[in-house]
Amino acid sequence: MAIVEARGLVKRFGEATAVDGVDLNVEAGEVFGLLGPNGAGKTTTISMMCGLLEPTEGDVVVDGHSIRRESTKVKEALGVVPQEIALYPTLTALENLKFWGRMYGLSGGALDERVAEVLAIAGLEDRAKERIETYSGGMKRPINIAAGMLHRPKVLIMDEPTVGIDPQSRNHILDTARELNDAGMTILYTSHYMEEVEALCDRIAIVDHGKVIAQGTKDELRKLVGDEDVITLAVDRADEGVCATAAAVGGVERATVAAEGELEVLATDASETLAPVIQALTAAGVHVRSVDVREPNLESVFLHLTGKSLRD
Amino acid sequence: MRKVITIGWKDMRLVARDKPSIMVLLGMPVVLILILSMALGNVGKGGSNPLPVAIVDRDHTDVSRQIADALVDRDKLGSLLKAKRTSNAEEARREVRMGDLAAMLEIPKGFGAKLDSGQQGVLRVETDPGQATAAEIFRSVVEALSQRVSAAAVAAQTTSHVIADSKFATSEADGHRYVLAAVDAAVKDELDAVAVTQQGKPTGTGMDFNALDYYGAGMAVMFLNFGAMFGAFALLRERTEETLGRLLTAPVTRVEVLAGKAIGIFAIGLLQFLVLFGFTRLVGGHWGEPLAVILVASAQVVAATGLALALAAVAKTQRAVGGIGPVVIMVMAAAGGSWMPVSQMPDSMRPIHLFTINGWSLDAMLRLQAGAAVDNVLPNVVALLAIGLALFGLGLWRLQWER
Repeated sequence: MAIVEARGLVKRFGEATAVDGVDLNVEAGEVFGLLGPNGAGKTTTISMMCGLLEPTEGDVVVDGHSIRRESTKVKEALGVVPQEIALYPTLTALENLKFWGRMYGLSGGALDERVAEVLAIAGLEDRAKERIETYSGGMKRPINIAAGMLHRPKVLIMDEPTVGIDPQSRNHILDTARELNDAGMTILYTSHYMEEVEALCDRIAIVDHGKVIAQGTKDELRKLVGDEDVITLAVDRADEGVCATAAAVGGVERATVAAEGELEVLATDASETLAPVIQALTAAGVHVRSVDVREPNLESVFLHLTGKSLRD
Repeated sequence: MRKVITIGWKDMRLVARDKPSIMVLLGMPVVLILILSMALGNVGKGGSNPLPVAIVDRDHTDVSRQIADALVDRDKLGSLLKAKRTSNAEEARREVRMGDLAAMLEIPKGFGAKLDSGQQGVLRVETDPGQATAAEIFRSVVEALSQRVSAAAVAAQTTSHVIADSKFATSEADGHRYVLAAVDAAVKDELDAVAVTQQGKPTGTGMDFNALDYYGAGMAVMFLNFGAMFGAFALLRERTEETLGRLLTAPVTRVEVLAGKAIGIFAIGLLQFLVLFGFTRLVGGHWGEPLAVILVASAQVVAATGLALALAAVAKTQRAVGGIGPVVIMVMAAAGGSWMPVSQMPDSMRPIHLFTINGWSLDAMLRLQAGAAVDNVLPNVVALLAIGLALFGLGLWRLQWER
């Protein structure tokens, strides 16, 4: 059952169209990823979902309530973790959490209980009475997330929560998202980091230029580029003749020049094909400097669908 | 309503922890009130700081001594004048030029003889141009005294001549005694009149108030508007620091967010006024009926809250508010009388104060200081509330919610 449904969402800012007819279905209990490069329209899409921006066209229904007609009900069902640290720097973590809890209607013992609970999840109970301005970037992030889940929302929207932090803090955030999902919370996770989305999400929508260009499970998306492994070879010479040499090897589906001095070979099984390909190239007088073998992933899906890398 | 109050309370907490803001909102007005009231001293007839003056008696007659004695008599004019007697006219002149004295009075040689002969005597006054207002007060006292003494002496001498021409013969000594008695009475009458004016309540506007009272009100009114500027900063900071966006994704309406911000700005402004009100009273200032003063201050804080929203909406960024805000506030302060009384401005400039928050607020404060009742300032309160609502409307219309 879809807990979040976006239908024909459009957002225009003057002449510019930031979101162009997005349709999404997020099922209850899943981790849904919104993957796309910076500026693809991910944040604008979720801003319309949580009532921060009014859609130019279309609607979002959360837990059966339309954002256009029942925005308060939608906001009660959602928890939002913004991309930036949206906390008051001169208030302590405790004061911040209590303030945001009150904004969601919590008070008294229930508020104290929830604040203690999220502080434990953030692992910052012992520094709760220190001002946010004294925290490192990696410490602010968990409090930023904690403020979004105080009221135990049905859906937690996490907008690029790992931008600009160290790997250890990033792992902690991903673990937290998994734990919340295990506890039954639906997570809508946006990122331009393919690895995070691939590791965390059950289903993924790939967004580019304000449109959803593909949507499905990881396997469904991988199938869009076929089952072949991708062998990338750094060579001293990459041209049509070299491609023909590689393509003539058994088990090779296709060989192309990916970039200057870079050959990309699609093979049904890289473990069996790699050695013959290198032998053929060496015999043709091509010097192979390095080799990279990978199975189809979201990066190659994005490359396949848009002709550019996620990091472009 | 609980969420509105929570937002307002949070804003008060944020300001309380912002030391630079506290310095501007409370420290600066306190310092300016003290400096201006000390520097400008007793700007009004009702002032409490005695004017330092010197009396130089070159005449050394009974009449000149009577006048000098009366002026240095602390019982009579102690609260208006701090007069010292000196025989060194050059030294007194130097002290006036240096600004150590507001003025000096010289009773010229032959002054008494002129009065004895039925002529008008002239008293010379030299003043410090740097203390023009205070010096003018002294000059006017001396001129009034001089005219009254001369008139009394002429009357006494004339009477003496009439008696001499009659069957009741009088000596020259008797005539001198009549003049002395008349001068004594005239001096007492004139200085009593000055003393009574001094002790009485101020009754006018503008320069009739002492500097502490005037600048206590003027600076409080001006810095309440600076409080509005900080309110605008706070609103825009919520936007740039993304907390406004987070607030709007919570189940809180935009009206609740704005009401919370407005309550915060209002409460901070009212607290700021109460601190300045308490401080000026503590150092001897007068405000009039406290509840009426707080009513006027509350109305001004409403207007300042509207100004905060309008500034945030029109300027759009903190940087722009930092540029536009002080200009708007200082122009309103200058035109509205916070720096100098509207009554001292040219006729062509005076109406401008009606278009400023300061003008309406300060006018009401000064009326209350002069002893006016609350109903006397209700039009000002209504005007301030109207300005506040108009600015609030402008803010609502132009405010940009998204970053």
